[in-house]
This record gives sequence, C-alpha cells and structure tokens, in this order.
Amino acid sequence: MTTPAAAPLLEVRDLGVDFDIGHGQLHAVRGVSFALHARDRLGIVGESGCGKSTVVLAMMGLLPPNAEVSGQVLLNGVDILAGGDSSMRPHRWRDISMVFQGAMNAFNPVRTIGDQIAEPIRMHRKASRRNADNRVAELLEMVGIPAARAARYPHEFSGGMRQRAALAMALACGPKVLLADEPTTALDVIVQAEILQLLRRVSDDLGVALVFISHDLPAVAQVTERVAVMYAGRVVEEAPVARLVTAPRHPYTAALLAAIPRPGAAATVRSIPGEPPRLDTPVVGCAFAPRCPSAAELCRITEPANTFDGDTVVACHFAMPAGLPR
Amino acid sequence: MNAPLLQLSELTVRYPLGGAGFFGRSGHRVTHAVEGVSLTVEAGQIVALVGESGCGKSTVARTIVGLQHATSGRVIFDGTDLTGLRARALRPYRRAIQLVHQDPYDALDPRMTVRAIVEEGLRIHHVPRADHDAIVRGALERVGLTPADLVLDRFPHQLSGGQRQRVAIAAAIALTPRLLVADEPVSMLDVSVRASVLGLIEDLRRDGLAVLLITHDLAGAVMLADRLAVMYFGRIVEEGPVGEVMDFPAHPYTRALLSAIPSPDPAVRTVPDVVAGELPDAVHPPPGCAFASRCPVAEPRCGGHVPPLIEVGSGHRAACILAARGLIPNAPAPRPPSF
Repeated sequence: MTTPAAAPLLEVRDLGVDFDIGHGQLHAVRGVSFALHARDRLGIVGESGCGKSTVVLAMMGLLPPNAEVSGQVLLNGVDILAGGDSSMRPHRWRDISMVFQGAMNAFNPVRTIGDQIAEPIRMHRKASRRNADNRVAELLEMVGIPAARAARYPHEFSGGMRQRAALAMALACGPKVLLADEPTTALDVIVQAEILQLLRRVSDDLGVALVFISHDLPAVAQVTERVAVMYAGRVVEEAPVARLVTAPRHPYTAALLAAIPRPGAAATVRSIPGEPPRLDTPVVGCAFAPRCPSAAELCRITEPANTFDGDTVVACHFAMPAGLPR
Repeated sequence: MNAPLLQLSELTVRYPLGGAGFFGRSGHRVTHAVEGVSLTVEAGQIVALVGESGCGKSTVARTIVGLQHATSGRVIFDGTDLTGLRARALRPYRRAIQLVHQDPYDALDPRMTVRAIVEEGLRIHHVPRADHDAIVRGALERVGLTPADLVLDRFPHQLSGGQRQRVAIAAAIALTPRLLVADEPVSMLDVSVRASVLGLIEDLRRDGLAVLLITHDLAGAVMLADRLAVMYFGRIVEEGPVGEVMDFPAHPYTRALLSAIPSPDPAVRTVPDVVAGELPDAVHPPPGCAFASRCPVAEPRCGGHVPPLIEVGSGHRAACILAARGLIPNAPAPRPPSF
C-alpha cells in the first residue's frame, strides 16, 4: 500500500456485514479494508452479489435494520460507525456522499431538477433559497449542464444529463469522499465515456476521494488508480490498476479480465464457469476454489489469508508471482 | 445468389402523438422512430444492429417480429412480404422468427416453471403434445442447461440471470426458428456470464440459425457478427462487413462509438471523439444529417439534406457527405489497443 506520511482521509478497517435472513445469517461482506487520501480513486469490481454495493451502503450507514455491521469506518481518524445513526448523520452527504445505482431514474418527476439538487443544500447547510439556487447553478455548470436548465423537469433531460444531475446532487454539500455505485452501467458508450471523464475531473478539481463501484473493469480502469476485486464478500486482490490489468495475481482477476470483449481481440473471450457460492452458509476454504482452474486440495480446506506484497494485496494460496504477465 | 432470409426495405415506423391526446389536442404530429431502414440478413449469418438507446433499433426488432406495424416499407422474409399479411397467414412466420428480449428478469413469467415457459410456444403453434417433453428437454440441453431435469420444475426466481437468459433462448429455439432477433441479450448480465451467452448464440449460428443481434455493446457485437449496421436517430448511417467497418469506419458516428469503448489499460484514456450534445427532436427531425449537431467534422452543408447511404468499400456503405468525398476513411481508425 502507498504510505504517505499523512493519515488517510478515510480508512475502512475489517468491515463485515451480516444480514439476518430469518433462517440464518448471510455473510455479505467479510474483512474488507482499504484507505483513501484526498484525490485518491479506488475502484471496487466484482460480479452481482459479491458485496460491493453493501460495502458502500455500510459506509453511508444506509443498510436495512437486519444488517449487522462490524469493523470501522474512520473519517479523519474518527470511527463514524461507532455511535450508530446519530454519529453518522452529521457526516452523511456533507463528508461522505453517494451517487446511487440507477440514480438517474430516481428523480421525482413532478419537481424540477434544480429544486431537487437544492434540497440537500437547504437541509444540511441550512442555506437560504437564494443561496441554494446559486449553489445549484454552480453545481450544474460544474457537471456540464447549462444552469438555466435547473428549472426543467427530469423527463426533459436525457439519461446522461440526469446522471450528471445526480452527480451534481451528490456534490451539493461539498463532500470529501464520493461513493459512486455503478454510475455508468445503463448508459450508452459515448455517454459513459463522458461521465467517466467527468468523474476524473471532479475528483481532480475538487480534491474529492472517490470509490467507484462497477462490474465493468474497463470503465473502472478509466477512472481509478487502484482497484479492489471482490468475490463472495471478500477483497481477493487489490492493486494499482495498471498492474492489475496487465499482471493479475489472483486467478479470479485473471478470469474477469479474460471475460471482457475487446474489439480486435476477437474469439479470445472466456466466461467464468460455474457460479458464485451461496453466502448463507459459511464458506469453507477459498470461495473461488470451485470455479478456479488452478485450485488444489489446500484451497478447498483452508481459506487463504491476505498477503501483502509491496502495493498489492492478494488472497490466494497460489497467487501468480509478481511481475509475471498474463 | 439466393434471396436473403430477411430483407428490410425502406422500413419506416412513426408513432402518432397527440390525437385524442392527454389535453385533447388533435395532432397529426408523429415521432419518427425508424426512417427508411434497409438491411438484409442471409441464412446462417449474424448481423449486429448497434446504436444508442432511443435510436430505433428495438423498434426495428419489434417490427420484424410483428409486434409493431410498419408505417411504410417492407419486411420480406424468405421472399414473402410480411407487412401485408393477416394474422392467420402470418402465423407460420411468427414461428420462424423468434425474439429474445433484453431483460431476462422481466421476460419470464414468475409463476410459470421453466418447463411451462419453454412449452408455451409449442402449444400456441400446435406442436403435437406427445413431442413436447422431448423438444423442451432438447432445447434446454441445447442452451447448456444440462441435465434438463435440474431446471425443468424450477421457477425463474430460482435461476441466475445467465440461466434465465438461457431459458428465454431455449423457449425461442424450441420452435426451430430460422431467424433469432436478439434484443440486447446480454446487457443485463454480468460480464463474467456475457461471454458464455454470446458463445451460445455463436453455437446456434453454426447450426444454421440466422441472428439479428441488437445491442449498444459494440465490442460484443464485433466479436460475434458477420455484418455490422450502425443506427443513429432512426436511420442506418453505416453498414458493412465487421472487419471492414472496424478497420475503415467511414461515418463520424461509428468512429465516435469506437473511440468511446473504454480500454482496460489505464494508460489509454478514452476521450470520445464527439461533441457533447443531445439528440435532435424526433417530432421535428432536422432537414439534414441528424448527427451534424454532435459531429466533430460537420460542415454547413451537412444541414442541407439527409445524406444517402453510398458505397465506400466492398459491401460497405455509409451515409455521410464527407465519407462520400473519401475524406474520412483515410484517417486512422480509432481503436482501443489490446493489451
């Protein structure tokens, strides 16, 4: 891990989330740790159900009541999870903010976009209507929407514009950390590329630390410096993105990369056989072993621990050696 | 040369607006969804129709399978114009052309078992009941749900997204169609299972099935298709063999699409080669090229009239006045490098 002298802005330590599902426990997230400084950008990738959305919802304190969260989320060294909702509330939206999955379809159709972006400003900043309106204009310009469109309704915006507006809303209270959950998933390629560019620019210009969640590794690689790959609730590999895509060390990372279609590399795409394990029973051994091409007896018995190697974390008994290209 | 399996000829679909509308406006206003689309699919071929949401590609799909009436133009399947046929005469063609929907979560009835879902089409098309069991099992095994016994009595919610999409494809191929119209078959699926569903479509083609693949995922389309047609604002703006279109994209929109595919290599930043902007108004389409408002190389002349599709290479057509002058294809093709 990179270790600048300054303490990190945000640190997630050994985060775990269990859901009580009536007839037992579902272990959605286990032992997730990472740290972010201002302007850092971390991607979290993995298949549906791997726990990536649960991680960020836990960081926002937005999980349903049947969720049991363990571990710490330190913001400037203070654990914001420790005191329950009352300790989270002053930080939510002001310090940590989020663009939700499908946010572009979550606007209220009968209120103007500007009115909806102004709401968190008036609530959290106790701003007057005029000040809030000025801030809305500033935010819209920042995400590339003419300020005059604040008076328009959601249906008058294209999908890409609504997604920009959702980003403006998340930035309304000047957060230090922005969590973006699949912000480009339902968008067309050109609009997606524009939003990715915007995320980079916003984090650079405002110094916001970004956690970018997606199942689309190329999209993440376009924005973040580091990527954490999650599988069955655990981070199985975390590394600088350039290293991760050229020399993956966990077999799951390698398999994810092989599944990406790329023009010019036709017929080389391989899907990952099998399915992720059920999380309502304790995982024995490595969760990926049943689908792993290089699994051995050991993998089915003992869960691999995290191995720290320079700026890479990998959890595999047979991690591919560093520096070996695929 | 044999007649193509499917031939769309100047297909136009316009949706009426207003009429006895919300505020009682009597309007003759229409939304121009599809304008003069001509496209052929040969037997055993995979043709990909790509474009962004709202470009009319799903309307083309719905018109081919008869869920939407064509305003004008023809849908010719195996030599017969389907647009003029009555329901009874259309029935055999409804069997021969099957549609796979985008969303495997919504397309399957949650209260029907997999067996009932795949069997439904057989009942509708009066396939002898005695054959149903064998056909249903055969179709499920063909799509890789083996052994079929494991899934036959399950309900959709007990299946993963990839399995659901396989069930939807099994329901389509149980009727031994000759053309499969697949509308975004993998866009709702995880990257890890997308490849296997695309691989299945490739397998089915090897059995002789023709496929019209409708998608906004250019990278996936390129992997699979023999021919590529790019739609923008209701019209086909470029069409040709995949390799040819990839190597020599002639229309600025195609080039923009290619330049926007994110590269997994962080050193290669994708910066889309397009002017940020909105689609024109589909009720009042512009007189000229619809892409001109976002085109990085547009000229004043582009606003004059809609450019026709003209030959820019072997079997390769593009609708751009600059391409017509040979100005675009000489520029290097933007393409994310493999790593």
